[in-house]
Amino acid sequence: MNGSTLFIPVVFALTGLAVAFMPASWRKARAITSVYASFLALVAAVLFAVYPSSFEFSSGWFPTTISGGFNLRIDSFAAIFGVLMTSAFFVFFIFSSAISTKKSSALYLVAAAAAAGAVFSADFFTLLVFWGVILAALYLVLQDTDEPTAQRAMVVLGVSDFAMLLGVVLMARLSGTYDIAGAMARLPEGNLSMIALALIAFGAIAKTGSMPFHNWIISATSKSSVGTLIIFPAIIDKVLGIYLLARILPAMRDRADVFQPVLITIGALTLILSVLKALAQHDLKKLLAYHSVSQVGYMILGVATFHPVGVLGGIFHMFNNVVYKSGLLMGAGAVEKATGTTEMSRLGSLSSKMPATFGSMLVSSLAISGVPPLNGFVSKWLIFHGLLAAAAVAGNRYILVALFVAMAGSSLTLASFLKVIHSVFLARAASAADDSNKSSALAADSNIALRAPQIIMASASVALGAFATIYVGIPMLVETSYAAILMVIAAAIAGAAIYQFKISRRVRRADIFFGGEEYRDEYVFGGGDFYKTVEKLGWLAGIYSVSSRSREDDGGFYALVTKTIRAVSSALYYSVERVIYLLQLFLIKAVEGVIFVLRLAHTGELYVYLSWYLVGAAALLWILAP
Amino acid sequence: MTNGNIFLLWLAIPFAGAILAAALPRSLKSSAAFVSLAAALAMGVRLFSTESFVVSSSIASRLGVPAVFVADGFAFFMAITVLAVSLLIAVYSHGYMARESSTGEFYFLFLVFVGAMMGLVFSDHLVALYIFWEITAICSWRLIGLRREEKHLAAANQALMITSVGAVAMLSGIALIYAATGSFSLAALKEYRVGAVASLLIIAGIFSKSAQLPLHLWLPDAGVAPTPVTALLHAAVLVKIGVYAFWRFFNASMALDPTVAGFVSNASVATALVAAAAASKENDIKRILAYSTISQLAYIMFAFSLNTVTAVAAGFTYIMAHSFAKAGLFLSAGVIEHTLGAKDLRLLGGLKKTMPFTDAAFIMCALSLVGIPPTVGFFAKYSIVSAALDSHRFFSAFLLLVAAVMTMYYIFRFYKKAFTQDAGEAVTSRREGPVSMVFAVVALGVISIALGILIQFPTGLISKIL
Repeated sequence: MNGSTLFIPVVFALTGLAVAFMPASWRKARAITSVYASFLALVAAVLFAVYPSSFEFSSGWFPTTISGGFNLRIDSFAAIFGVLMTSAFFVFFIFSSAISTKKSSALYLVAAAAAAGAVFSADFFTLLVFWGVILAALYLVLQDTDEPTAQRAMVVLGVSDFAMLLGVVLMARLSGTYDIAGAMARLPEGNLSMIALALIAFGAIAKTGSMPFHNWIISATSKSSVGTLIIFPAIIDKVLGIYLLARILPAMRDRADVFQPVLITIGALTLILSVLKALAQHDLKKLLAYHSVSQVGYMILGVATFHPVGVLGGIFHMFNNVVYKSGLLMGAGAVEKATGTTEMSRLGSLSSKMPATFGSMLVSSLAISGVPPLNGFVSKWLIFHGLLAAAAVAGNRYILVALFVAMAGSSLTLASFLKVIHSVFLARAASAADDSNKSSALAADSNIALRAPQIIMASASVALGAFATIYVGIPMLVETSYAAILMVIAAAIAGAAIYQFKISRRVRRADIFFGGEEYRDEYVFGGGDFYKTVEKLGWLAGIYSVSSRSREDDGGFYALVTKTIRAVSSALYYSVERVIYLLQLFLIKAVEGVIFVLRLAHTGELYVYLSWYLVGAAALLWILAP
Repeated sequence: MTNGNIFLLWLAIPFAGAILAAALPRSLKSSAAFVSLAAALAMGVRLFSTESFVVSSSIASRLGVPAVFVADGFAFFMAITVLAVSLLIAVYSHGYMARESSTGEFYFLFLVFVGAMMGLVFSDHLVALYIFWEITAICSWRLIGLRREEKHLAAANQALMITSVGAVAMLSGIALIYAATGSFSLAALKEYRVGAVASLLIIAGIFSKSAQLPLHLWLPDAGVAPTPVTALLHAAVLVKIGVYAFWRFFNASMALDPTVAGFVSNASVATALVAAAAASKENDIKRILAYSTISQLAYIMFAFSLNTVTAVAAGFTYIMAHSFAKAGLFLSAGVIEHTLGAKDLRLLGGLKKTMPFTDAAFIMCALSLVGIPPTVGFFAKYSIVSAALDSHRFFSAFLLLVAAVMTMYYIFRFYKKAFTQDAGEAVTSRREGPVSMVFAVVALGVISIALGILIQFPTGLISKIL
């Protein structure tokens, strides 16, 4: 019993409430309260993690008659996730203070509270409630600007939440407890346990936004704020999905013969298909969204190795992804704020106008591509090790394919980020009139609330990569990580040298020539179409043709669900409901027919009654005759 | 021990309010309804907190029957839910009925209806229960046909016909029970194992009243009535009578044959699915909500047919959750219909901008209807699924969740078409509805969320009663 476990969710929830009741014009107050609240939450999370015992709290807030009540527990695993998540929230709320409206700020805070509650839940029912609150908040944020996407998210995550609900109820029945750790330990053998576990894993995977549950993330990029894209798909959904997968890992490992192939397949396909789609995107936000789907593939692959190193790599990759993906999305947000667009063919030469954004996006791009010594390299390295170890088990040779896919995915990631860096920052802008908004670009870049979070995230990528040995503590990393530290030092010295000797000043500046001609605007080679040829490759056409279909029908889970519902509805409606209607109509007509016949015998004319009298008399005689 | 006469006086409040509403001038009719329902609600809460659970009255003993009314906890729970929703409907009616010509008849029948419902809820005597049952049928007949148009009268007649045929079946079931046991008292019939024929006859009556398949067709057609009426009939009161009577007969008193109970469970799962399917096919806003009501009532019927302690508690939680959420949705639909004069989804759209409060209320109620936390609908749905698994009905639980997904589909389809897509041709007004109507709608939405956040109060109450 320890009420302090409630601290983080309560702080976020109260701040959310306070923000909701502030007048819409109190921008500063809103920013200060939300940043302060997330700072308090971060401090609390660090204290929980440092304190070497687990905190528990139970109350009858949720009815004990239908569940195990309301239980929170912060053990060391949850505490680590708490620190990771609250630190991401802290940086995020600094950033969001510059771009968010009142309603979305309040809902972000509510979602943060629910996410903290979900991570600290000790039992499945409490987890389910917080899980659903996040969905409600996500729906409300999205439907403000973009109802169709909100509906997508609602259907996809709603279906998976209902599946999880069934899984939770079933698991509680089978193991006799709602407690997460207890249920994992006591889950009996058998098919029902398998179903329960699969349903819960379904909920977790759908939450991470892996394929085929990803379409709402992609369509959210077109109208929704970057803030929504950062806090929901990039932070909360990844953290919670991977957290839950890791929590049910012991039980899945006992049934590895079923779960491992499925998870490996989902992971590998998600990874490679979405990275290929990312290559072809020409909208910065959409490209990043496909990468956030693709990175889920690594995390799931890592967890699916069921090997300590791989699982550690998966979880670590999840957190690294939070760092660099938030950084990249923040950069996209800053670019959008400065230029009003994220369409790459209309962007260009921002490196001089937005140096901070350029620098941090460059570092984050290298990190996401897994270039040493950055953090993305370390976690991918661990995942590759895990995959190798898992493939060494008899009958698991197919995992080597996943390993190959993961490595290929890495290089494709790098390729698509070359395109980003080139077309957004280095290439000349397509329109010559872009100098007019130079001041707004500089203003966006120097806005502390937009600038600081990006720099924090980029430096975190460097630090997490360079000092991996210290906190990961795995022997095999030692050499690589010393090399990483040496590389960082070398890079720093080289940078200092360039600055010191002003090498850049000695560069000769001249007009640009294109094939011997003087530079003209129409020669501009934007990065947007870098990989047009890839799209035209015959054997890849299947992947890309899907994206050119209509928005309603993109082959994802949403389309599957809605089509099924429509088909089932039509079938049930016409085969049952309308049949009952026709039967009732028939019955009414039959009764009316009887009434019509009886009415013929009831006209009020004397001869009719006389003839009835005669018929009746005849009938009586017939009956009474001996 | 509460004085029985006080209890009877309480039951008489809505009837007194009805006479008052009929007698007072036009401008005061709605206040008569409001005051009498508020008084009844306040007194109901007061009586409930005294925890006196059996009342035998002097009138009853003069009739030579031990007790006509039994006041137990669930009856109180039901009566208070009904009164709370009716009170909000009365507030709403003040705005909605202002333009109607037949306000006098409306308020009179409305209050008689609520009174009959309260009488029914507390009835222990089978014949008394039947009489109240038929009073509600007659009131609903007049209320559906309130506007006296040809189509309305046809719908009203259909409703009366179907429910009366059901009621006659129920009466014959009651007669069979009396012939077998010589008793009309539910208390005396406790643990009596009803024969299959008698129970099926009674269940036919219940199905017709609660609009379960295949006796449901009157409910969507009754949507032509004024919105407070449909809200009253569909959401709060009339259709709940059936499921409540099922509980009274077969959970609280007599024992149902397991085969018949199994039949009811399966029939209600089928109803939940088919009605949800019909709701996704309709385009008339009130017909969608009517089919949705049929589908949701099947959940309650399912819970009661399981007849375990957790299932009964789940059923009552669901009754409460659904009453508030569905009343809110119907009344939101009424705001749209009242302001724009259209109820076809294809003609609506863009109301999110013009009706922000109705929009917010609609979303809150829709989340509760679907069962997304932290609304009360989530806890209700969860407990029903949980109770289904307690009775080893995994497949039913799965199908009920499929129906929940379909619910999500049709209610958000409704929301998209009415509120967020581009404005249709019927959207001619840019105003929000009248204050009293919007207040009632928002109150129902807030209650749906608040009961979810404070879930331990209703469930605590239910488990105390159990």
